[in-house]
Amino acid sequence: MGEDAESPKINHTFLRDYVTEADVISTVEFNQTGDLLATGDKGGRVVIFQRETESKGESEEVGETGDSGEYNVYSTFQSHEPDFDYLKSLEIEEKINKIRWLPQQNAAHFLLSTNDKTIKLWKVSERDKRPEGYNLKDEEGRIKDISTITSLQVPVLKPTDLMVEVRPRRVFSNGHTYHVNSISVNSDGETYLSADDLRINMWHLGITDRSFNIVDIKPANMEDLTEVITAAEFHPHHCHLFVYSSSKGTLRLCDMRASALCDRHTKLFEEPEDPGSRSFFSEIISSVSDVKFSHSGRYLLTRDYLTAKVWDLNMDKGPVETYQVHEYLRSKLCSLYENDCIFDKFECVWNSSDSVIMTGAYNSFFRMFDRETGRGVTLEAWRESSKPRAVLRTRRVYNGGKRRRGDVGVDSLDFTKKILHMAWHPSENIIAIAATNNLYIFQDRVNPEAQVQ
Amino acid sequence: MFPKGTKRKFSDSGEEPVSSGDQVPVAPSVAARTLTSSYSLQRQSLLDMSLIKLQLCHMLVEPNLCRSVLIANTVRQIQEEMTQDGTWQIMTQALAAAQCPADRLVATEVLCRQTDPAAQAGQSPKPFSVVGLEEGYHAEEVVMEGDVETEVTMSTLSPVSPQLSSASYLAGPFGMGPCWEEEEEEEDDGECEEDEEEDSEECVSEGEEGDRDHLSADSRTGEQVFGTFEIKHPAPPPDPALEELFSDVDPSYYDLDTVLTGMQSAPKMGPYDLLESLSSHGPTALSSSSSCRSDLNELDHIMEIIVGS
Repeated sequence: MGEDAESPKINHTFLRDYVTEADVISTVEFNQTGDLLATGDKGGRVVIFQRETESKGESEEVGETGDSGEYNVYSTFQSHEPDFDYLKSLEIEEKINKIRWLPQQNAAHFLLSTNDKTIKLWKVSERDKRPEGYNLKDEEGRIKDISTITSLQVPVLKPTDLMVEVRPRRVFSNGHTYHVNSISVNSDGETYLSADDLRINMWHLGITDRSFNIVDIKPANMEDLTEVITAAEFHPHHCHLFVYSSSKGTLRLCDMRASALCDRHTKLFEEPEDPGSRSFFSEIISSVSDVKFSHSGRYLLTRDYLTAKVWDLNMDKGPVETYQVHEYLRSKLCSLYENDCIFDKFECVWNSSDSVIMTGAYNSFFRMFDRETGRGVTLEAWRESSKPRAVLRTRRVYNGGKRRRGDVGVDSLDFTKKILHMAWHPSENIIAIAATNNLYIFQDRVNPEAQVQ
Repeated sequence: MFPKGTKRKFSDSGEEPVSSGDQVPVAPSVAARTLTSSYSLQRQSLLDMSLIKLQLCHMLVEPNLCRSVLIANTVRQIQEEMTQDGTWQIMTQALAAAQCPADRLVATEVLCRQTDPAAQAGQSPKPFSVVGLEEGYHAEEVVMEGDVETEVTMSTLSPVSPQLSSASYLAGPFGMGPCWEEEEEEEDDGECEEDEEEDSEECVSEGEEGDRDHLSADSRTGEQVFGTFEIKHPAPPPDPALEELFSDVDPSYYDLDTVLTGMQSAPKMGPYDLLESLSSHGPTALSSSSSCRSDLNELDHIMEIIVGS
């Protein structure tokens, strides 16, 4: 007792707020069924969550699905390690830039994960049975004394605790000189593309020592470099089509049947610049940070710094819809340039029926836009302001006009809390939001199934 | 410039252009002229900010190419605009005349280097390129040639001013262009060592040269090369009239948000509001050179920290 009285009181509150850099989530992705959710972090680790399928038993109501909707940790593994490029004397970060699941073909699951330079194919398999009843070994594995064996038995498989094994099956290395920003699995199930700042390669999933370069925008003279590739994706249905976006705000649709090297686009999507709003930051904020095909394959969703745009593949003159994500930042571009926030790369996602799009913002806010009504809503991924299972309330950023209670002023936005990575369940209204080192999973209880148009 | 004894008010400045000979040839309205001065200050600050950003990429991890390209494009855009204004030559001339090599002019000097002097000449002031030692010489020539105007004038440069595509000034940043190699051969490392203030830059350059030896042009990113600007020989004493153009990057440039982004579109603030936000700078470029100098020293210090001496 006396000891306790003398020992100084240590304030541990700071530990709660301390975020290990390595734990910052850098990518989130559902698999094709939505049962598995993978996250990658800056420390090179991948954590896979699995949806619980326990039935509710007697409390199950009519119409309610058997899934409780909870996601629990299924497996964790170290995907990439820090590396060193001896030629350039530079470190290669182990941060996982992207994860993409392969369509499931057997009991095992496969995913691709990539850091700046190397893509890896991982096999995730379960083992829940083990053979028992060996003749020559006992239960602990020790060799039996032969003289004690009087009869032969056939080993049988007995159920055991579930074990999840993750093994690297392929390592696709040395394909990229610049930083890989995107990977995309082709609908043919055999190939995938990987894109870095200046080149896009196509790989066969079974071949690791070769890749096919399909786009190369590196100028002969690096002095002339003014544009880089920011994202790329295969068309969801047409295995010969892919799209890539650039730092100048253009999208290029390429057809691999046209030529081996797709430097000439089949279609160029570009919005004409509004001369009235031109500033020194016009180009920077027009840089596309993410591009996603709609599930239907008919539309493209892009994100630049201030807006999210929907493009119709049949119309290349400009987007068909433009959504203002955080227009109130337009007058703050200079300080956002100064603190580098203007270079933040936000992702964007479609819902399963392509009727809603979602993207992230600052202050732990993320935005959803209903394409039919054009209306947007702001939500917050912040544990302090919402309890588990509580209904999310909408937020608003106050920028002049009538101020409501709960509105956040533009100047009090926290720019370190950025929602860059997110994913939407392929068939249900479940979303996964990465907020620094936390993963939030939200469900729409009112309309759990997406309304199919 | 102003009649002696008259209290200078920004509302009066509109009356000046007619009487004074060395004013801007075009006599804009009061608002426009005031906007121009403060606008160019802000633009200069943005330029410096961008150049510092490009320098700061000597990190352990390979810098982000997309970010570098975007910043470089911004710098080029400012450069082009300044060239059209004519302020570009003034700055290059003053650079040559600048006394302190290690001040923040270092950053802008990068832009003042020309590439291959054999490049086509003849066109009126075009964006300069980064690389090459020759610029230092040319700038001096220009200074001696004639009077240096403090205001924006459209004087043409020396005949050697190269015509370059707007992208070519990036000879340094993104690749080992032939000019960069020329510079390497020509320059004497001993030169740099003499001046203490250049040490910081020298460390950078040495590191770069070491890197360069075993780097292919392919894999270089802008910043690695971009950061190796050397300071040339010290120049003659600075022209006070010119120095004011390089008025400091005061931390108050953080206030630039509304000014700079609102600049080219219809500004939400009127010109008088702009002035208020820039009260420390004053409406014209006629601040005293002493204040410029003390601020420049401050900048020296900041630059040294940034470059990591």
